[in-house]
Amino acid sequence: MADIDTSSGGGHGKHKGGVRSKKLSTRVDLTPMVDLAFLLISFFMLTTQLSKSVAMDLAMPKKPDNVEVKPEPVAGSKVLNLIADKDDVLWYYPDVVVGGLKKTEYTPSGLRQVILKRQAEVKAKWGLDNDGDSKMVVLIKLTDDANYKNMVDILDEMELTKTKIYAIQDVNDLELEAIKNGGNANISE
Amino acid sequence: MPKFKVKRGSTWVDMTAMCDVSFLLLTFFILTAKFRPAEIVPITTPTSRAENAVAEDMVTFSIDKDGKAYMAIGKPERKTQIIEKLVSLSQNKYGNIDENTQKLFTRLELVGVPIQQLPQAVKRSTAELTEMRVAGQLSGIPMDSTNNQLGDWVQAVRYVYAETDKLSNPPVAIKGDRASNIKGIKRLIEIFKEKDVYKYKLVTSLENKVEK
Repeated sequence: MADIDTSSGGGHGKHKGGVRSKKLSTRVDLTPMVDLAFLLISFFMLTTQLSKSVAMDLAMPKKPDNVEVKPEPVAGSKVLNLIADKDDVLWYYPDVVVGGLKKTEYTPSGLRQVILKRQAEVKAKWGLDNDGDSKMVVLIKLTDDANYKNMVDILDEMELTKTKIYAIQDVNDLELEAIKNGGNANISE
Repeated sequence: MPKFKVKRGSTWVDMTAMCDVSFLLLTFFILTAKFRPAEIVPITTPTSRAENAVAEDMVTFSIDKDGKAYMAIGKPERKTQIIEKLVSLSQNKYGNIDENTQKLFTRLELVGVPIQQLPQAVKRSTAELTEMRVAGQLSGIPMDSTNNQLGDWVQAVRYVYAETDKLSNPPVAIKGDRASNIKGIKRLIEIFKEKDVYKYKLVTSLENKVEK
């Protein structure tokens, strides 16, 4: 009864026989180990991807050597002004005449719709350029209270909406006044 | 009709091979993974959909959330060239920067002090510099118009790339904290403009699509 039978055959009783201990398999189930390994692989793959920093190109206009050269005037009907203000507030108004500033947000339903809408207006009037992109001119203005994220968000949106012509400018006094008044420029005063 | 006995196949699959492969891959990924090294000044970059990778040979100008400016040079060889150029351009304006300082400068990960303090700063380790930053002793590179040291650095960088690589546009990048005020960034862009650098990269991190 107590002995361990390691041999596979040769049972010794006629009918009852000894208790045959089952031959233990040396096979180990590796499935959980494989699971674990793949889990770790996916973790490492994802983390290496996420920590990569990417860069976005930005080119600023060259300082003109000859101060006499005046930049070409732009038709007001092509222009969209975006003014980044504090606390992630974004003001916008079309055309070059300051007035009727409206608020929007840095979201696909906010800023992007503003750009797309203006693009459609510009397209109706001016058509598209040779590459099939919009002729809209976006003037990006950043108040002193804006942060860097706002700037990158706007530039990113330019890329996304395929707006090729944009410039970073300073905010003028009229616009600051308008923002103070909640969007309305009172030119009469 | 003879009865066929279909032998039942075992459902046991040998996982050894699969295990081998998966661990091989795991080892590969662990070894190739480059974790972001601990930074002296932590900067959380804004996210964007840009896809250009940041090159190694690049000079990064960082603005942290307090608006202080720092500079990091990607390649050690460049560090030697740039510090030599800076010394020859500034002509002892910032005190004597001896050869030993110039040699040690190649080890410096991040320039975060005025040039006058460089001889002391190069002797410190990354950990010590991090401690200094935590204690608020790292003042950043001055960039106001009366003491525009950052401008001198930019100029040195531009000259080095123009002379050795004949590049009219040095590979420079702006790395700003997402919360940093735009004034610091604007000032940096202004300095770039003054020094005839018009093209640069903005360092961002990949947009997390779930976020928006």
